[in-house]
Amino acid sequence: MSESLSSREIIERLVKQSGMKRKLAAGILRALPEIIEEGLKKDGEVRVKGLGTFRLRWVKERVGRNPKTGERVQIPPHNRMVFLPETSFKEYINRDLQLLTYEVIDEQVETVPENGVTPEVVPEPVHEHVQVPGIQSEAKPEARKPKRRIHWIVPVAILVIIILSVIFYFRNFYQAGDSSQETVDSGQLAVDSSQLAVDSSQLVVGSSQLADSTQNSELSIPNSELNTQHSELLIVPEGKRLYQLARETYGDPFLWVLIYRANQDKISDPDILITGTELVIPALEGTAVKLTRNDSAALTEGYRMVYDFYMAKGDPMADDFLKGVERYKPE
Amino acid sequence: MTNLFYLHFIKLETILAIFNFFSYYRCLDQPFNFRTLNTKEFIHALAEKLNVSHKESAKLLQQTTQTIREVTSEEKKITLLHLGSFQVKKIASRTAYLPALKKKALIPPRRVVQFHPATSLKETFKNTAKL
Repeated sequence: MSESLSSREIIERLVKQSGMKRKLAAGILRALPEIIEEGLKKDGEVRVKGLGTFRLRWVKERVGRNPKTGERVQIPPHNRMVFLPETSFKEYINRDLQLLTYEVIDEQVETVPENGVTPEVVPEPVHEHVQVPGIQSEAKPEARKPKRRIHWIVPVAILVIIILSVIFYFRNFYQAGDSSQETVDSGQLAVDSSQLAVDSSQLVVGSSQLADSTQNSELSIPNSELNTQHSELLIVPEGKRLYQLARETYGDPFLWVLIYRANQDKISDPDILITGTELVIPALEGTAVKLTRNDSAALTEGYRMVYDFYMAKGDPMADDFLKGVERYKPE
Repeated sequence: MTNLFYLHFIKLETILAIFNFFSYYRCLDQPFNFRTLNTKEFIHALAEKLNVSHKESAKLLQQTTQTIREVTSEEKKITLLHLGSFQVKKIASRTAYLPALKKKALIPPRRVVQFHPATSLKETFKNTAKL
């Protein structure tokens, strides 16, 4: 602000640089304030292209002070003239500073040393290189974040635990359903294989006795017989008990008695299972959920056998198996 | 009272249209408060005052504004008679709190244009009514 140019110097500059007539240049500088004044009186706002807008701003009545005497003065409401420069004007002035952006200061640099020494002046970073604000924003202080994370994690962890427990609780039911389906499938397979067996036996017996009627009669063998004929062989894996095997095969652990009944010669004690022994697992007539009359009869028989075993041993647990007998009693 | 009941049958749109019509009429004599004097009108007024064509007046305006810009960017003060002074003020780099990042930041230096109206202009607008 060392130099200040008056309107006369600007007229000379206009004449020299842009080759304007002196008369016109003087006329413009005379006309400019007149036009602006007229426009402000009319509309309260005048826009000059290239410079900006001149505007009237209403100032409310307020109490001010005379700076010389310190008296209170009531300032009446009045209009004030304001100039708002255009963005192009602002950019033109700051054209050499446009590339500069703000620079985030780390709080650690600013910390005052504890010795009571006067705080060091923060070194002013050089503004010559452009800095990307996105990189700076990523390096946020991590002191506050962990608290928030804990707030997020606690309910999520509880939810996960609940969901897992629910899944594990219902998983047994799903397993039961699947295994029952498997037993049904195996039953169908059994029927097929039995038919094959029947065919082969017929072949052995001779083709002379074959007739359609006999075939039909052979095919209509009662299911109970078929089931008793069919039975799976299972080698006992390590760490398994009878009721676990029953749950895996039938889907109901209470049907372990059937396995015990079928393998009474191999299993001396139902509490003890030797790994590697081959067990015959009899197929069910119905499903574990819906037992047929033959199944329940076999079950009651098995339970009675177990009850007899424990009574011979002198175990008070035997009474529990009597309940089983009553439960599976055929109607 | 009977006349008041008629108001129910007049739609709001028609009332607005009548109001707009009157306001438009007012605009012709004495333009509406919220209108700005745009560049076209400015050029027209300048051409009338200098007795030149519109094209020439636009060119003259462009040249004068350009010189004002140049002089201000050279960090020199301009005082125009009866209008006021344009002046460039330097704002040094400073530390400020950025609420978006919640951090302090060093803000680079920049220049700002300041306009101080002439006393004659100030006085004329002091006494005018609120627009």
